[in-house]
Amino acid sequence: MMTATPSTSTIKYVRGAFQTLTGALDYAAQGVTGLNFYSTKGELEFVLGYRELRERAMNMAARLVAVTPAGCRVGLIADTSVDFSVMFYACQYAGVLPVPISMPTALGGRNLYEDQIAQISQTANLHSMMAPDNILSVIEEALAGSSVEVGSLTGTHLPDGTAALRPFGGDDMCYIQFSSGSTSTPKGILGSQTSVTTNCRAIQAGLDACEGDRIASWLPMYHDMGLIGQFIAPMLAQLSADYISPLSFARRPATWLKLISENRATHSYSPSFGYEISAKRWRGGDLDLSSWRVAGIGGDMVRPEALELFASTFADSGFSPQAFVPSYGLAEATVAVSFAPLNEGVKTDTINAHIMREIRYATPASEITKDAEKRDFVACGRAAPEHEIKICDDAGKRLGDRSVGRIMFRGESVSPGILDDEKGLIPLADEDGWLDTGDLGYWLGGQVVLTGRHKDLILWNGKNIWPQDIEWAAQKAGGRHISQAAAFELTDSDRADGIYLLAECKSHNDEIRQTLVADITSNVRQIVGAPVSVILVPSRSLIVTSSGKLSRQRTRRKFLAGSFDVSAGVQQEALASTI
Amino acid sequence: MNVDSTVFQSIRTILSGYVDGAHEIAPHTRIIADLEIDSVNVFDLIMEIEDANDVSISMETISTIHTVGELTDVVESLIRAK
Repeated sequence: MMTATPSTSTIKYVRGAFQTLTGALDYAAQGVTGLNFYSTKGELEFVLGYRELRERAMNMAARLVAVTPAGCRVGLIADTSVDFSVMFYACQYAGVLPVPISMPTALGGRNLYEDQIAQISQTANLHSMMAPDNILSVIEEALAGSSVEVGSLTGTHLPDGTAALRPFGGDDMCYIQFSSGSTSTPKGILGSQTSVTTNCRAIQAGLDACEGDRIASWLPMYHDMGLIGQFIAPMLAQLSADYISPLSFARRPATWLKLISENRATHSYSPSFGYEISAKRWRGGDLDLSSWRVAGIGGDMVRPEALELFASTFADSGFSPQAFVPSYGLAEATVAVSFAPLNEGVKTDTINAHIMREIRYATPASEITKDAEKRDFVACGRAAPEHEIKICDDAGKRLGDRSVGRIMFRGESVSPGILDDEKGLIPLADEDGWLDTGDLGYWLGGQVVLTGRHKDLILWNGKNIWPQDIEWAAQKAGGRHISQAAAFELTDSDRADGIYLLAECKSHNDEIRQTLVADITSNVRQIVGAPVSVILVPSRSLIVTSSGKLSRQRTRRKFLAGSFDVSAGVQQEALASTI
Repeated sequence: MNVDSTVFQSIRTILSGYVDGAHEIAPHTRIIADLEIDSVNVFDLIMEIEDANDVSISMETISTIHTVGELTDVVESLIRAK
């Protein structure tokens, strides 16, 4: 019978001492811990100890070296599998940059996925791409006509090789992260050996990873939280980890909890929605979640009500709400930026949203604050160890407690830069090393409270939605009738909460306009999976900056002020018929 | 495809459990675009249809399905191939 790797290794526990991924794997391989892969129902399917992982990765690397120039970029479709794990580390030993890429989305997503693959391969200037066998044909089709070589993630297409390996050194790059940014304009963020190992060290220290700890994860390997937090950081501390795929989790969330319970996991992360669906779909059964010391929350705005539901559902299963660790992170900082203090659970701050909007100050709600104006925000702790955070106003002045401003982050975890078609690489930090996260927040007794993510990013049911994707979907559906579109979210306004899309429409024909609204609405739903209120506005009425870039925030303010002529089509049509 | 087929009828029954209000479920109905099914629920839905018909729909195939009719055709061909 197959047995999962043990939680305690046979070698001395070493944390935070490694400058490269291969150096860390060389060490972990001397022990007996490693990675374990489970089916949807929670049956152990594959065991990959670090020793075997290293051996297989090195063999594969010798074959990779034979066909890839040093430093070239190789796309890896990142399913949660042994093959992906081996190939990711093979790239590290072969000195080629792995670019983990998502799997296709469900129902009807194929066309969009193929566009996305082609986009990424161009932006990243991929040399080749490897995919699991079951979607090889999709990738081949997406890259047909390009120079990118497509092969299986199992590496069967690679020649036998005995060439000398070219492992990355401490000053080299490590990988390229493509999870943030919109689907229509993907953003490639470079990670170096330094940024990745530094961030992992901060994670291990911030989350108190100790000898004998164990990780359980369903997070996708193409996302920084899954790849760095749950796949690389554990290896850098010789910890065992248990995985189910995101698809398995979506089908049976209870399997995640079953793994934690049976294998006595101590650390596991999820966005709020993962906790929520686990609680909502729970049908009862025996679970012992008392080993779970760090129940991290990241990847979306932390939603206290989702966590309360989870904590009350699993109180009888030994889950302690003190285990919740609200966290804040982003791929530009590798992943982790801050963690709430351990063993303290979720600290909520209820403020008056109306006052906050008016004067950018998070005034606590009082007895006379109307319920509709109350907002709950969650404290996400201090900067990860070895890093700094400051919150500044628009003029760059540091702000004190409760004043809302831009969150800036500094430290070795900050990515060396973002890929750019023309400039090659755009650095992310300013000359003093500060990364502008684009997120807004305030200080509360030494902890960062996040009030909004990137100024344009839309959050819907725990999902990050990029306005560019909505606008792109609208233009695809509207064709020549739509010249430009702007999407944004409205909350706390006089209008209904939700996502709005203003589309500049050239047609004054009512019938065409009605069809357009229906087509755009359904296409947006198909592509981004969220409901959107579509409103047609006259040509050239959206606000653009002097350089011709769309300003969603100013367009949004104009809309809230009621300055759009949303009945233009009808009126002009009526006018035309009288002439 | 045949709207009287048992597969179509069973898919229609399963789908109706995921849909709010009075949506028509016909072969040409688009599952995400018309029925407004949440992206997380889609996985539940697929699993239920797989379990009911004892088939497994591959990732590659799932990404090409838009309408109820296409889904029915896929399930029927998987049943025939058993």
